[in-house]
Amino acid sequence: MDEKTLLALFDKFEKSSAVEMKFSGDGNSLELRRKEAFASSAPVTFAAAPAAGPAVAISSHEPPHTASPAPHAPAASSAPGAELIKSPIVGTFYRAASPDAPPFAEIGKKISKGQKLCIIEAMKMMNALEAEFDCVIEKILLNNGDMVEFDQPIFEVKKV
Amino acid sequence: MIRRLLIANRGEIAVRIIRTCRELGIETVAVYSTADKDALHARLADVAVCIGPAKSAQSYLSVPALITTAVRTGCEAVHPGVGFLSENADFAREVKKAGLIWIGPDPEVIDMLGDKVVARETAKRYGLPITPGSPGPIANKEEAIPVARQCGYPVIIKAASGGGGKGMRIVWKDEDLEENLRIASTEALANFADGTVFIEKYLQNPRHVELQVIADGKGGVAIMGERDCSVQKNHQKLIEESPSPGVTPEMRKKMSDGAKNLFGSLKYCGAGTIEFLVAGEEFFFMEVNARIQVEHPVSEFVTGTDLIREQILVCLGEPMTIDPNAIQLRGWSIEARINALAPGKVTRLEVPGGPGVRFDSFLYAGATVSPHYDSMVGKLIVHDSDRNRALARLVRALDELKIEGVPVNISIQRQILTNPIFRSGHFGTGLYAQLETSLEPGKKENAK
Repeated sequence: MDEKTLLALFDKFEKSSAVEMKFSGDGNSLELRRKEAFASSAPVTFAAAPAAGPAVAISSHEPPHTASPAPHAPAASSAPGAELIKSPIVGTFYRAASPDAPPFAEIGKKISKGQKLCIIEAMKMMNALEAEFDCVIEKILLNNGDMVEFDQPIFEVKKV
Repeated sequence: MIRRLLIANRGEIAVRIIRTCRELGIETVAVYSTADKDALHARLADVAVCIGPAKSAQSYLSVPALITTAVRTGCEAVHPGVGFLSENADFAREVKKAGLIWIGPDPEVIDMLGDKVVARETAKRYGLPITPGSPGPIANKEEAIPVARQCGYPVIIKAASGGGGKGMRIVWKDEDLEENLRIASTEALANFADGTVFIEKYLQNPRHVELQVIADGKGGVAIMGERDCSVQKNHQKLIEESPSPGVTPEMRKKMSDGAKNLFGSLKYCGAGTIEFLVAGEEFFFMEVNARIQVEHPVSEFVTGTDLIREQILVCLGEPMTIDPNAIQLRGWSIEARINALAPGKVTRLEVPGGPGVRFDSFLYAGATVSPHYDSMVGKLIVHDSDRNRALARLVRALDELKIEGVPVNISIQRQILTNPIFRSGHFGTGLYAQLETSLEPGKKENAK
């Protein structure tokens, strides 16, 4: 890769809203990450409080366009004894710390109090959501990379 | 033209912006707090996103939540509305940094106009009169007396870093200067950690007059007539009208020329308002509001223009649909703000109609008026050929407006509008205080 291409890539990345970029080709590989997004080893954390009540859903009165917030199934009926863990902020939902890392939470997995459940990215800040109590993941209500609203249920869990 | 725009606001202004966007073929993204999940703006927009809890600081004032939502929903522009972040230069910068169009003037222009002293100096440079006063700080009686005599009594001593009435003293004669300088300076020091004070001429019962401006960012400036907003309760406007009963054609021309000069030179882009204090035939620059204003509909009526449309167009770099040099003012328009006196749920709503009547509101039967936000729930605006006819129309429309479940100020507004002093057109910003004791909140004017 020549210097011009490299600089052009840097520039492209700098001007984009992406937080991470990987490039491989011509026997080279390059990985760019935004400092502010991954700066601290301990990202901003939110304790996930259990929440009851109906889910607040993105209301789209028209068929969603390509850039619309990802439609999600309103988790209206949660199983008895189940708790909903809702998002404390609006942002992008990530199941893992980076694309190549394993997801924090899987269905059936036991998560202890204080353990990370997911990442919610807002303005290139990676905010970790931590469990407030020991639980088992019953359902994951969003897909990786979906937009999440404030107060929107992300996980259905069982307290243990 | 853009495809989609985020409205970083709530209530009637968000509804107002959605309406124009729909006419322009722009899709809207509304944001709402948990307290507003059934709010009209969230129901009318093409997409609605919950961005935070009821507290504004974590929802409508949350820059990360707003930017994230705008980017994730594929918006190309952000309209800040009024209040909240509408004059926040840092928010404007973040919007631009995210690659979005800011429906407002450049952040640098907002910053400059937001600084009282700089704004005054700039206005003066472009030929607008400012209230006479001391060029700099005043330290003692010896410095104060000549300045006060030159301004003419009464004068007001003001804290340089002040606001909200603290460190302010009105002085009527030489002998009272020394003591009041000391008190003002002590108050200023205690409140703002800066005891610096200066002296200005004190205008008694002035009128509050402002010009509506639309500018294209390339020096093109349209002056859309003036508004008189002298009926105010604790600096909160209650009734606005256009034209002003206290502005002569000569004054209007002088104000407009100065404003054209100022906004043109700043390469101002978007909607803005320049405010003046008016005493007799004299007027003095007060400040510029670098955004659209609540009372814009009276200017829309007299100019026959959709100001939100023009504001959006110029900020998108599109040509205005109006000719800045051929603005015609027709008839008289008056607006009465409808404010909730307590929160609650609307059980019944009857909206007035007929020619020249407009009701901008977020209310519907079943709507909630939340305790978390501004008390204004609507604006009743009328238009007719002259002031007397417009007043008759507004009183008639107020009588038709029925809101149940939430107590509102309809009766108080009716009492002001039918008051002989208000009717005469000869009043200033002191009018409300003058009438206050005689106003009865629950008075039934037309009990039949």
